[in-house]
Amino acid sequence: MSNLVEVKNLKKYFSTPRGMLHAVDDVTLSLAAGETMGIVGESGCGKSTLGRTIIHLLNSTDGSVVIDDEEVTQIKGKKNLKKLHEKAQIIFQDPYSSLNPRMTVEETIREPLIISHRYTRSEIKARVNELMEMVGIDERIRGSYPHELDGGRRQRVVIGRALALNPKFIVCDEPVSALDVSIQAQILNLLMDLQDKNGLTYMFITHDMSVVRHISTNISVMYLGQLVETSPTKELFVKPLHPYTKALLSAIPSTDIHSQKKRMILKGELTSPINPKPGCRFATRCPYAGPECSSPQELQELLPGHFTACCKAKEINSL
Amino acid sequence: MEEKENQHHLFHSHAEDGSHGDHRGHQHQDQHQKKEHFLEIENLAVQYSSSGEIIHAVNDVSLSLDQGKTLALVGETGAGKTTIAKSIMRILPDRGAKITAGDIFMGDKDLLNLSEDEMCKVRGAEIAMIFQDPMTALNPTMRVGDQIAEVIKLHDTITKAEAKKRAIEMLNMVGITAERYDEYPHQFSGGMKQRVVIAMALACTPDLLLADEPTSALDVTIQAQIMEMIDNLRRQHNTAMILITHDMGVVAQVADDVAVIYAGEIVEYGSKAEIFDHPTHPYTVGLFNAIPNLNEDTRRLANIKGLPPDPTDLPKGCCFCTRCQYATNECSRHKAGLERIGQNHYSRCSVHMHHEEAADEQSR
Amino acid sequence: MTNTIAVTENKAVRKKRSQSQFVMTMNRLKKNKSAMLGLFIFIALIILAILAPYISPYGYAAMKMSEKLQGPSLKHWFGTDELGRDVFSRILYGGRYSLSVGVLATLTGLIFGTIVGSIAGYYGGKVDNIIMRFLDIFQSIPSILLVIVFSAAMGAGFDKTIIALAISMIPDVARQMRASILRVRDEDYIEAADAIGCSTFRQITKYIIPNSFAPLLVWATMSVAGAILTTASLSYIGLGIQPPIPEWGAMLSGAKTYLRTNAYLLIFPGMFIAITVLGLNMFGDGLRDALDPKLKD
Repeated sequence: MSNLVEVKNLKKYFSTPRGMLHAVDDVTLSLAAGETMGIVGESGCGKSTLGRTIIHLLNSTDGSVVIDDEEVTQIKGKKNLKKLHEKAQIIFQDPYSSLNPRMTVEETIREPLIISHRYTRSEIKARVNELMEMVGIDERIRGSYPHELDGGRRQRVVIGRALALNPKFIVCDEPVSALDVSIQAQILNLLMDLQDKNGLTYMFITHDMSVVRHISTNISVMYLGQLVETSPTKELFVKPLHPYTKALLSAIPSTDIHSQKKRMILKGELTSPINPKPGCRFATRCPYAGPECSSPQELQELLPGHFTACCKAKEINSL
Repeated sequence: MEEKENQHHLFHSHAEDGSHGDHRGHQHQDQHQKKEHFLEIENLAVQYSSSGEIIHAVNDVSLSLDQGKTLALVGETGAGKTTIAKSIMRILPDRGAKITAGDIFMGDKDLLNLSEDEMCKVRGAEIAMIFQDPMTALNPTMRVGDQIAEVIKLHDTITKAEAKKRAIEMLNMVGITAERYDEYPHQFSGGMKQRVVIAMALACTPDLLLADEPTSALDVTIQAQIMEMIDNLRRQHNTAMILITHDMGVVAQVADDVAVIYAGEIVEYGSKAEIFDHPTHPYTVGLFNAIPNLNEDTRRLANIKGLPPDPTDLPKGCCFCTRCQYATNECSRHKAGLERIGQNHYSRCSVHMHHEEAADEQSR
Repeated sequence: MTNTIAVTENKAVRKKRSQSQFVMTMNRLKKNKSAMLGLFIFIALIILAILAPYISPYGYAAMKMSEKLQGPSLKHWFGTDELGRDVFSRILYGGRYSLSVGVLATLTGLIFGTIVGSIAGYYGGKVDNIIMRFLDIFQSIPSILLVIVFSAAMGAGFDKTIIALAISMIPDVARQMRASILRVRDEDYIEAADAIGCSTFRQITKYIIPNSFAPLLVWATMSVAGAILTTASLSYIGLGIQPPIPEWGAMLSGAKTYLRTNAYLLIFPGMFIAITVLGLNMFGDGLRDALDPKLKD
C-alpha cells in the first residue's frame, strides 16, 4: 500500500544575520492513508516548520515531499498550488489569530469555496451549512465575529475552513494547546470523529505528550531540526529508544500521586541550530554521549516499525 | 457522613437553611484570637467592572495555608485564580477592580487594611509573586543581575555592592553563572528567564510565594527542572506557596492541599490525596476525566459539555448545574455551601457522592 | 507559547445581532461626549456649507460700495468687507471651499498613500526599499514648503490646491499603511489565507487593508483639519484659492490691512477656521480612544 504522504530528506534552512538556521534538517518519514502521525518535540525543534514546509506554505530548501502521488516541492506559482490546497490543509494553534477579525463565521468558512471558483452560489451555501454541522457550529452564530466567540468555537471554525475543500491530509499544528482542558477534550473528540467519518490523515504537531498519545497511531520525535525517533504510539511510551525520548517521557509530570517517578533531569544547555556542527545535536545534554556521536546519525530500524537515529541506541537498550 | 463545619470556621457556607447562624459570632471572636493558620483568606469577593458591566470574578472564597506548605489552586482560565493571588498582593488594577468583601490575614498582618506604603514593604519581602510569562515579566532594558539587586535594595538597607553580591548568590542558586549578571533578558532562553524571575521572587526570602502558572510557558524538560528548583528553594526557607495551575501533573508533584475553583468559587478543597483519590464535586471529576491519560487507552475523552457561566450574570443556584449530569431541580434553585465530607476534604456538592454511593449499594 | 483563552457562555448565541468591530467602535464613540460634540460641530458646518446658496442673505460676490466696511449689524450679521460684500454670506460660501478642500485633499492622499504603502508593505524587499527611499526624499522637505512648491508650479486654484495637498500627504499615509501591513502580514490568518489559495490581491483587499486601516482613520480626521489650515496659509500668501472666492484663508489674507480698523473682518473667518479644526480634533481624539480598547478599562 503506497503512502499518502512521503517525505524524504526534507531540509528547510533560514538565512539569518548570524548564519544558516537549520530549522528542519534531513527529515524522512511517511504517512499511510487514515493514519495520524504525531510530531513531538520542544520549542525550537522545528516541528511547526516541518508541517508548514510539507504543505508548501514555506518553500523547502532541499528534499522531496510526495502527497497523493504528486511531488509537491517543485510547484511554483499560486495557480499551480490550487490542486495541492484541495488535498492538503492546515489547522493552526491560536484560533484567534488564525481567523480574520473582519470576517464572520460564515464568511470564513466560505472563503476557500469562493476562491476556488468552482462552486455556484447555491452550492457554496449548501456546503457551508454542511460544514457547520459537521464541526458542530450552531446556526445562530453564523454571523458572529471571532472576537465574540470562545476558543473552542473559534477552533471549530478553523477546522470547518480547513475541511471546506475536502482535503485528504491535514496538518494540525498544536490545535488544542491554547484551549482549556475541558474544551481540549471536545476538540480532540471532534478531530477524531471527523477522521473516522471522512477518512482523513493527520499530521498532529504538539508538545503535549498525553494528547499525542491519545490521538496518534505513530509518533515521530524531533530535536533541534532532526528526527530522532519514529515508532508506533504505544511502543514509544513503553520502549523509548532514543535518550532524548527517554528524557522527554520522564519529564512529564504524572498525575499518579502514589508513584512519583524519578525524573531524568537534563544538564547542559541547548546547542544552537545556527550553523550546527554535524552529528547528533542532543549530544551536549545526553548522559550517554561519546565521540561517535559527532558523526551524522542514521535512522535505523531497531525494532519492527521503530526507527531511531542514535548510534548508541542498541547498547543503551540492550537490543 | 456529612459533617457540617463547626470548628473549621474558614468555610462559611451560605446555605439558605441557616445552618450557620453563628458565623458572625465566630468571625468576631477570631479577630481577637491568634490565627490558626499562617495565611487566612476569609470570604473574599472581587469584582471587575468593564464597559458598564460587573464581572463577579471571585465570590466568597475562603482559604488557609500553613507555613512551609503548598496549596494548589486548580481551575480553568477565567475561574478567578489569578485574581485571588493578585488580591493577596493587592496588585489588582486600580480602575476597574474592587475587593468588595472579605479579609486576608497573613501572620499578624491584616493585608487588606494596610496602607499602600505598608503594603509596598510587604510586597517582595514577605510576599513574592512569580508570573506566568517570563518573557514579559522582566524589564527588557535592564540588566538581569540588576533586576534582582533592585528587589534586594528596595527592602533591605544595604550598600549597592552588598546587594550585588546577594544577587549573584541568588543567580547561582538558580543555576546561572555569575558572568551572566550583566546580560539582558533577550540574551536568555525561556527557561533561564524564568529562573531569573524565580531568583527575584525569592531574593528576600519571602514568607509566602504566589506562583501563577510558573512553568506553563516552558518546555516539559525545563518544567521539571524549574518546578524542582522552586520546591527546593522553598523548603530551604520554609516558604508557604500558593501554586496556580491547570496542570494536574504539576499538582501531583508538589502540592500538599488542593483547592478547585470554578466560576469564582471554591467547589472542592482538600488534601492532595483526598482530591486525587476521591474527587467528589462533579466538576473535579470532569476535570480529571478530560485529561488524556498516559496509561489508558480510551478512544474518546469524556468531556464536560457546555461552557462556564457568564461572570456578569451568575446563576442563583449552583454555577455548575447546567453542565452537570447529576443535577437535580434543587441544584438550580439553591446554592450549596462547602460541606465537610472527609478528614481534610470539603465539597460544594455531595449529589455526585450520593449518586456513587447509591450505585455502589445497588451493585452489591 | 500562547496563554489559554478564557471561555465563558457565549453571548453571541443569546444576542440577536452580531457586532462587528466597526459597530463596537461606533458604540464606544457614541459614549464620548466631546467626540460627539466635535462631530456635531463638523456636521453642522457642512450643513451650513451645503445650504449656503439657500440661506445666505446675499451672494458672496455681491458688491455694494455704499455699504462697505460696516461692522456687524442686524442687516449684515457679520458686517461687510472693503467691497461692500456681506461677510456672513461669504463665510457660508467660503465653508464650501475650505471644507471640501480639506476633505477631498485628505481623501485623495489616503487613496494614493494607501496604494503606495500597501505595495511597499506587502511585497517588501527591493520594492519596499525603492518606494521608501523615494518617500524619504519627499519627507525630508518641510511639508509646507512642499505644498508651496507644488502650488507655485501648478498655479493657484481649487483643484490644483487639492492635488498639491494630497501629494504632500502621501508619504505619511504610505508610511502608516506600510507599518500596519508589516504588523498584519505576520498574523496567522494571512498564512491561513495562503493555505486556502487566496490570491495576493484578495489578501490585500479583504484581509490586510481592513485590518490595518484603523490608525489611518484617526490620522484622516486630524489631517482634514490640517489641510484646511494649510489651505488658509496658502491662500494667505497668494497661492491656494484666490479672491473673489471666499475661502476662509483668502478672506483672512484680504483682511490683513484692516486689522486695526475693522478687526471683525479677521475675527470671523479666523473663528470659523478655529472651530472647524477644534471640532475635527475633538472627534479625532475620541475616535482614537474608541479604537484603542485598552484605554477604557
